[in-house]
Amino acid sequence: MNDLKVFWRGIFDENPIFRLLLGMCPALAVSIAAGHGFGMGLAATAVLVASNILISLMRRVIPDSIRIPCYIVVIATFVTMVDLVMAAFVPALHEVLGIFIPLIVVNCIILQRAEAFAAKNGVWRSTLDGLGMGVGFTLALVLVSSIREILGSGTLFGIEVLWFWQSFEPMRIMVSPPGAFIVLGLLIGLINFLSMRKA
Amino acid sequence: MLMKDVFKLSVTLALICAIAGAALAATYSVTSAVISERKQAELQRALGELFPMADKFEETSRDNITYFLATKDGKLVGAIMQSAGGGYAGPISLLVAVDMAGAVRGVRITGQRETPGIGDRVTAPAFLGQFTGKTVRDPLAVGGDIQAISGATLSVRGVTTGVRNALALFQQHVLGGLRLFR
Repeated sequence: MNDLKVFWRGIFDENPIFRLLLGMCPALAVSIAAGHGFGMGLAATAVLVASNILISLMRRVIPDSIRIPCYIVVIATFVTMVDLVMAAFVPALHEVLGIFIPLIVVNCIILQRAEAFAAKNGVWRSTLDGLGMGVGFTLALVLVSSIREILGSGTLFGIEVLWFWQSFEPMRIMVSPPGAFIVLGLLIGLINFLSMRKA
Repeated sequence: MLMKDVFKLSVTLALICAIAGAALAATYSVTSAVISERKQAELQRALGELFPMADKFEETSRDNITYFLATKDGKLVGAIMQSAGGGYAGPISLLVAVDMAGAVRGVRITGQRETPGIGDRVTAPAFLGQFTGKTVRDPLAVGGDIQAISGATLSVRGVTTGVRNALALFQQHVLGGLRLFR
C-alpha cells in the first residue's frame, strides 16, 4: 500500500463514521451544529495524529500483553495536555470545544488506530494514517451536523441560510438526540447504496 | 505466567505511567497560573459588562452565598448576586446585577442545560431584558409582568425564580449588612 493510499482511505474507503462505524458516541452527541462538529473533528484529529506518532515510536518498547493499558495511558495523557494547553493559550477555541475535549479519550477511533495501525507501522505512515482518519472523521461530522443544523435551526455555522424560505419552521427533532440517529442512519444507508452500485 | 514476567510487565507499565504523570505535572505547572489568571480576568470582564457603571468588583462570600460588591471610585453602587432557579433539566445559574435602589440592572445566564432550541431560548437578550428595572416589590409573575416563551414554561419559571432569589438575597445580605454597620 503506498503512502497516498494510507492517507486517502481514512476519508473514503475506511471512513471512521460511515464505513468503520467507530466513534459514534461523539458523532451523535456533538453534531447539533456544524461549528461543534468541525471543532470536535479538529481536536480529535490533533490527538489522533499525536497518539499515532507516539505509539509508533514506542512500538518496540511496549510489551504485547499490556499494550492496551499503555495505549490508554498515552491517549489520556495526551488529551489532558491538549486540554490544559488550549485552556491556557487559545481560550477562545477552548471555550467552544470545552466539553468535547475530554470526550476524545473515549473516542474509540484513536485506540483502534493505535492498535490496528500505529503499533505495526513506522512513524511517517502512522502520521499519514492519523491525518487521513482525522480528516475523514471531521468531514463526516461536518456533514451530519450541517444537515442537523440546517433542518433543526435554519442556520449553518451560525449563519442564517434559509432566508429565502420565510415559512420555514425549524424541525426540533433534528437538534435533539433522535435527529442524530435518523440523519446518521440515512447517510450510512445512502453511502452503502452508492458503494454497492459502484461495486 | 512466570513471576519474573509479572514483575517486568508491572515495572514497564509503572514506568510509562510515571512518565505520563511527570508530563502532565509539567504541563499543569506551566498552564495553571495562566488559566486562573485568565478566568479571573474573564470574570471581571463579564461583571463589567453586566454592570457598566461600576469600575471594581470585590468578591464577597458569607453563609455559602457569593456575590460581588460593585464600587465606583470607592463608593458602593450595587452588587452582582450569584443565584439559581430550577429549570426543566436541572438548575439554571444566573448572575444578577442589582443597583442600590434594589432594581435589576442586568441578568446573565452562566450555566444551563435546557433543551436546545426550546428551553435555551431563555438565554436570548430580548427575554432577559424584561427583568431590567424590576425590584423586590414587583410581582415577577410569569404571564403577568414577565412575558413567557411558549413551550419553555419551566425554563422561564426557573429564570424568574432565580432573579427573585437574587433580589431577596440582595435585600438580606447587601442592604441588610449595610444597616448593621450604621
